[in-house]
Amino acid sequence: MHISVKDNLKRDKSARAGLAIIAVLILFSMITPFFSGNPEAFSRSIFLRPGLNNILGTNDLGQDIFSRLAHGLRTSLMVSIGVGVIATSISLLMGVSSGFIGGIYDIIVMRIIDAFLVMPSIIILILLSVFIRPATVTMIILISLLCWPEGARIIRGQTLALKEKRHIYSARTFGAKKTYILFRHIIPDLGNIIVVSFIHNARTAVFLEAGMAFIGISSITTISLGTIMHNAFKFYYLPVWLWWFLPPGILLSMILLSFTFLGNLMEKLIDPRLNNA
Amino acid sequence: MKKTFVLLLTFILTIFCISCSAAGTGETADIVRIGDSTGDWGFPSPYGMYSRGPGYIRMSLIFDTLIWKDKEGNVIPMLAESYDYDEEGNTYTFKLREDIKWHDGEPFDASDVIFTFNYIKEHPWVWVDPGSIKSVTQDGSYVVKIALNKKYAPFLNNIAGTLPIIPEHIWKNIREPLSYTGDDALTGTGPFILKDYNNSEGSYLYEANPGYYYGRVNIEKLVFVKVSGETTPAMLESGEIDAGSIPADVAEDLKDKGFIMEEEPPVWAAKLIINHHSNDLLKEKSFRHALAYAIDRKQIVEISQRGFAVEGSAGLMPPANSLWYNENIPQYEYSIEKTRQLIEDLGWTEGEGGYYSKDGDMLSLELAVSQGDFERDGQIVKENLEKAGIKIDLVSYESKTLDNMIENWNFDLAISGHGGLGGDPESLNSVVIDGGFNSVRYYENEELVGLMQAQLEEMDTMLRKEMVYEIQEMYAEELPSITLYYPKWFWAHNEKANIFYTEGGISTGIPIPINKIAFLEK
Repeated sequence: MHISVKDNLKRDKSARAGLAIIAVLILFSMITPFFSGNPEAFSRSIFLRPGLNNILGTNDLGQDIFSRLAHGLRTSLMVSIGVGVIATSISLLMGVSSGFIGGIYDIIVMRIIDAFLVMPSIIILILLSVFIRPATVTMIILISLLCWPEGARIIRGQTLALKEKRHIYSARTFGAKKTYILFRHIIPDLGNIIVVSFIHNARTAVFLEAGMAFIGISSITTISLGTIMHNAFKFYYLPVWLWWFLPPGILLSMILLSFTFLGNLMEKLIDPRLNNA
Repeated sequence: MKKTFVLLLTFILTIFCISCSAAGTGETADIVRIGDSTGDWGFPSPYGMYSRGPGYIRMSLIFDTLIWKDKEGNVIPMLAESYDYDEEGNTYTFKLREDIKWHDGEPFDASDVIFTFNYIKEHPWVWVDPGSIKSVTQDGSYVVKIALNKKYAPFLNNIAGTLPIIPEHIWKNIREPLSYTGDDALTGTGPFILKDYNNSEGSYLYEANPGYYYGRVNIEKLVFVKVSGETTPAMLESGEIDAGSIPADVAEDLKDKGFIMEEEPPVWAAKLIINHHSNDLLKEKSFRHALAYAIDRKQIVEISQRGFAVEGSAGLMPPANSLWYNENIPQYEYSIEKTRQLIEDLGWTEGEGGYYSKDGDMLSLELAVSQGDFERDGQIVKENLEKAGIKIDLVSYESKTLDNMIENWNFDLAISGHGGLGGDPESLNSVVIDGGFNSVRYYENEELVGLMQAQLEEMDTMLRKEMVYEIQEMYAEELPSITLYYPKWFWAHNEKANIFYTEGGISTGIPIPINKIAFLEK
């Protein structure tokens, strides 16, 4: 069965909106830092209200909030995409190998996945951050290591189902090698699940990174939406929260919302029953 | 007739209700709740408390000292109703009150005082060094004579007014005081009795000691709850707490809303702690000078402290301690040129990215700050030092972890701070040559160490002042740490919590407005 993602995307308004939002945000985070000035530069003009020189005013160190927002968005998207790629790759490797090889290897991998699934990610991250400095790259790696099991379990299930399909039997009958079957038939057929897994991991990463940064567990020098909110929250008793705390919160919500819309579309593609709902 | 009767009855009932409600409010506020951003300051026994000012304050509500301080910083009697100093024999004589009972009903007398002084010799208590005490003897049940083996100027403030007296009948059996948390560990003579302590929630519940000898406690319960500094204004306004330290930015606003403001004299020092002990580069005095020139303290005060601080003095003593502050100390005015010159004199050359390097190694240092407290200062110091060619790796740690790292010299540079500089200048000794994480433990200059010890023995205030002035000059020259600023802190409270700052600080100079005598009837 061939499913056209493009056709489905055309029909699904919320998915189109999600794609548009994420595209705009990526574009904004890529272009804006080039003309928004140095986000690190201090000035004695602290807590300036939004104006012509500083679109979103300045923070407690006199830094331009708009510039920091653009850089922060870039970091958050980087973490999101980074985790999406790494965690999904691990999910694919573990899920496909487990389902395809089977036997004792499958049992061991599944028990490892079970162990990971019962561990609360945020607690593990807090504990690990005591020993490992939570810079952007380490955060990407740590979150990836905690996000992969869910996708791996789904991919394994789908691999087991695919293994029993007629065209795989036929390929075997004609003497196809295991690697050929794997790369020619199974992995391509997992395409939609991989995308769903990517979106799910990316969404979780944004949320986890922002959550960690908001509670103060991140590098002081990293600029992300979470760290901006963390710093702004200390002054929520002043009106500055309107242009300091609120914008990163809105951007964060937009990222999560767009990933959710796209995720919903992909889930509908995998499970056609959702289309009728 | 019936109508008159009803009217009369209504009138009588109204008068009765009014008088009842007046009696209900009386002189005693039911509960006073104080917000604190850290929460847990340890088990409030003399040995269980966390060794910082708030820990001492919580302990001082339960345990009394021989003497205490009033709002103006004057010595007032407490366990001792009077004292006398015999200069010739170098002996203090304390006449104890005879009407004092421990919380468990046992009578208090001179043997408890003698026991306490002997106990801290056997089990050192970090706040008091018994080294200056020759002997402690009793003359009858209520007279204690404390003979000193050398002159010790801050005796009244730092020993008699700091050492909590513990009950002999309980502590004589305690061999491990640091870990002892039995029910009787909190038996004191103080105005409050601890009813509940929750270290995970950082809460303390005290109840008034009904038989307090010094005066009636005018509240029934005193509660410390963990509240972040940012939420304190909102909680004060909603009436959930009665007092708390507030962000300086909202002081005026809360004042307008009817809250009483207590402005703390800026005597708490935020410092750049330098590892002059195990880092070879930082052992170099001229490199420490280079660091001082590179840091724009004015910028830190204006930006990170938003003007609510006083610039740090190189001599450590804050200007607010007007009796002992030496204003003629040369300060290290911000100058990148001087920094660069001093670094280059040490053989470093400017390399890649504008950072100095020597023998292929980049001039790079780690700057540790505690989470939340000094992150913004750290960012400015990092920027200042990097502008001067020193690469800085800024890292934040949980505050008690950082204290531990500092104590074990496991850092390069760190931003931390301490209070105690508003009182007797012995505080300089405790943060320069004594042990503990609050001290820079600097012994390289023997003259400085000698002078610091000698000032304690000088009983003439004017002569002592000259010595303290000289200590500040030498400290500024040696520069084992760089004082960044002295923050101005504000406490807001309603009329229920009648708290106040103590001139010169509580005990050895704690700048917290919770003096236990504030809770006593005047």
